[in-house]
Amino acid sequence: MNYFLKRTIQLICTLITVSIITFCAFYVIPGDPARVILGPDASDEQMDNLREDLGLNRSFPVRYFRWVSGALTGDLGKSLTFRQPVSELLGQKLPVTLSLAAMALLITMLISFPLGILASGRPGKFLDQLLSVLGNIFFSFPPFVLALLMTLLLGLTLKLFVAGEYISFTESVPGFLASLFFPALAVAVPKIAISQKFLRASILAEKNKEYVRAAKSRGLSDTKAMVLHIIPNSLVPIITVFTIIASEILGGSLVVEMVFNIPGISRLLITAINVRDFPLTQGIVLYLAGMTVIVYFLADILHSLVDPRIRLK
Amino acid sequence: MIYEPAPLLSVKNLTIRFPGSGKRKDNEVLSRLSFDIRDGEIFGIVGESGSGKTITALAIAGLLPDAAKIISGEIIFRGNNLLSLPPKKRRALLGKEIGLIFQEPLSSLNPLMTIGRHLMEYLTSHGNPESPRERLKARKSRILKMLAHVGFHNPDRIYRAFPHQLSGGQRQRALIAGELLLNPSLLIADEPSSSLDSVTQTQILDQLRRVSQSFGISVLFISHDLKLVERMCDRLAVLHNRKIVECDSTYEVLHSPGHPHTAALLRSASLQIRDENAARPAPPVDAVPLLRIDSLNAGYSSSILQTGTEEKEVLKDVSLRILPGEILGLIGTSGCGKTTLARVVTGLLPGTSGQIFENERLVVDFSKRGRLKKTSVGLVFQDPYNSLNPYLTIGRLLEEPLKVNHLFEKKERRDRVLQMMTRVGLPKKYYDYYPSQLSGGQRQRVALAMSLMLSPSLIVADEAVSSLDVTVQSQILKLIWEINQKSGISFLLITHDLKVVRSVCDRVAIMDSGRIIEAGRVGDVFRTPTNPVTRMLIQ
Repeated sequence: MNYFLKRTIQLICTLITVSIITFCAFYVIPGDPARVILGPDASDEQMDNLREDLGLNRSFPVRYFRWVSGALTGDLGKSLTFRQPVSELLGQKLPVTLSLAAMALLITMLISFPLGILASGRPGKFLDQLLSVLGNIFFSFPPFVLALLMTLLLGLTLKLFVAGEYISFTESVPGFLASLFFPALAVAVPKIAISQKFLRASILAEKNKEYVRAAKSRGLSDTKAMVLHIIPNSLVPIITVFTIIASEILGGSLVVEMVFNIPGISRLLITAINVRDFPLTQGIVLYLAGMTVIVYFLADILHSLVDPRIRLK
Repeated sequence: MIYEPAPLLSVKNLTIRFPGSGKRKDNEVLSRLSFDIRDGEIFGIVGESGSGKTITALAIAGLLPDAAKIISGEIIFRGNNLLSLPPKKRRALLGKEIGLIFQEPLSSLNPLMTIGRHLMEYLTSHGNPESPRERLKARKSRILKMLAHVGFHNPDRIYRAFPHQLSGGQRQRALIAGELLLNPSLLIADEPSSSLDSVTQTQILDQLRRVSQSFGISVLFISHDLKLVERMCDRLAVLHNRKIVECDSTYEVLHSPGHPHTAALLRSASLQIRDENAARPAPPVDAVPLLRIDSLNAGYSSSILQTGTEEKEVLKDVSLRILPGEILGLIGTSGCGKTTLARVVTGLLPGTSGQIFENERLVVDFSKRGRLKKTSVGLVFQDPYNSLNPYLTIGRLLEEPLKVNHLFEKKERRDRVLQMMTRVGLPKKYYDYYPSQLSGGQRQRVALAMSLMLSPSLIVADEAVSSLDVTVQSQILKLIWEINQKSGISFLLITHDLKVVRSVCDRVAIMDSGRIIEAGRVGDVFRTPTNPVTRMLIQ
């Protein structure tokens, strides 16, 4: 229990640091929110009034604490361009990005685990080499090429899905999931390529360890030794690989969202940056950073659950 | 005619090769090996590392690495040739009829599984229980009973423990308990006690003897240590260069060796290195010490946010004097703080309080948060396989201490490295070799040479010979003795092996739970130990 407590304290400290850095970043970059809102023709007086309204003329700590206490209650301010609360905008886009990420992660696991195990079965033989080459190819494809190819091949030629059609989850949940499947696949393919390689290497490393030989000396068959001993141990380092993949996927993929016409967080972020919509950008960046920190926290917890050496000392 | 029952196991003409590929020639690892193991006896195989001992064990168990090919021979177990059995039938024998105990109990255990789950596998991998729930309880109580049988007072705790929570001796005993669950008729023990300290080693070996007697189990005992074999085995085979050179009753082999190699092994095993007549007079006990450690405390701590070990005091009020020109032995069971002391003395770990004096000059006061700076102390580690950077040549490795201290020109450095190589008995051609191309003994010579490069007045050798087999061990100890005699460099020799202390040390200090409990001349301490712990260690 001590371990979880320590980790939680660490998580809170990290989140506070992240929020300070996020806030600082927007404090120092050039561009005046008041000017963005009022346009180039506004008088100085109008500008001053607005700054007063927005609290922009207060000191840094005061502004930071206002923002953080707002954020804690779910109030991230109002978007300057959409004239809508930032939290509301995030509430619309986040479920889409999160669903896409979850689906992509699931596809990655479902495909890369069997492939990794298969490749490690007979290292250096035909199947292993084939998977290695395919892995290299799919890993080095730029995402937009992959997304476009999929649209062209699977969408327009094979008619497996309607290119550019997006069904929101308020319309139909199965339709929503179906319209996310191919985008999720596009996100997952390069990740499958890499995690399959890591798993293969990890299994091969565990395979030669002495405890595997010892397990066989108890009369375990090769398959049982694989399932009961080698695979659980080789998944321990894979947790780290998936942590990196998950935090990347959760940030959304701009290319995939663009090509498949999905209203996710990446597109919102690009819009916000283009029009210097500070509150909105700040909110999204806070989400991205916070999400990464939380994913790493969960990975640590998962690690400790799997590996008793971390938990019990 | 005396009726002789058929042996339990007989190995006949066994030849095993690792086939080479392309230009590489076949590598023969066992050559026409033949021996018998009788019912209920303890049969020993001794030999140096690389002589084929482990391969023999794995061949009997059927766990040879994929690359190994059996060229000829038979392994007859209870009348069946194991080599012609289908794999499935062979596997069925493992754990049930033939048990294996390996050298390193920690690496033979799956770190993610409790001891209980490991032992459960012995029972589950042989035949499926019809009603799993009922059987689980029965199986568990059977395991607990066996754990109690091998001497655990709290079998329940051991059952639930993960491997890393137990000591080396406990792990090995738990594994022995597992092997006994199905009452096999042959137990193969491959160096089962080599990774344990002397007290634990004795316990484990006694355990093996006892179970062999009470269960009537034959044991194939593999070791490089003649002393252990003498204590354990009824009969003995000496393996040398992939062949059995001698096989007879233990007494016969050890008291009238019939092969020159056996005689050589016996000579190295006795580790007679000190030549009292030629030795320089030992420094007087009241001489000005080269290094004086005064009430040193040290330990490992962690900050609040760092997870892992809690603050842990390892060294408690340690005071020790190392005299100029002496070899001081430091012995103690594993985990008593020997290595921590070595790390403090060499400046790798700061102490929490206490002082260190060099020639009566204060060099560091840990009580005032001092840190030990560059000192004239060299360090040699236990494992020559891991302590040398595999990507550097021997020349580069030896040059490094001079280079990082900006000493000498490039050419001068090269000359000094070559001189040093000659001094520690390494041929000059090894200058461009990589560590992986050297044997364990040669690597330890490199490590010793490395610590000598900066002309230290003291070298700390932390279990520097414990991973080597007897012949090489005696060579390295001889080298240490010669260096000490010729150049008067002091050594702090940390070891768990009394033989090592007897062979070269002038004085000995005994450590237990972080304290020095006794120190004095080797002869005096060994003859009349004053502390009960010392007495136990010496027995």
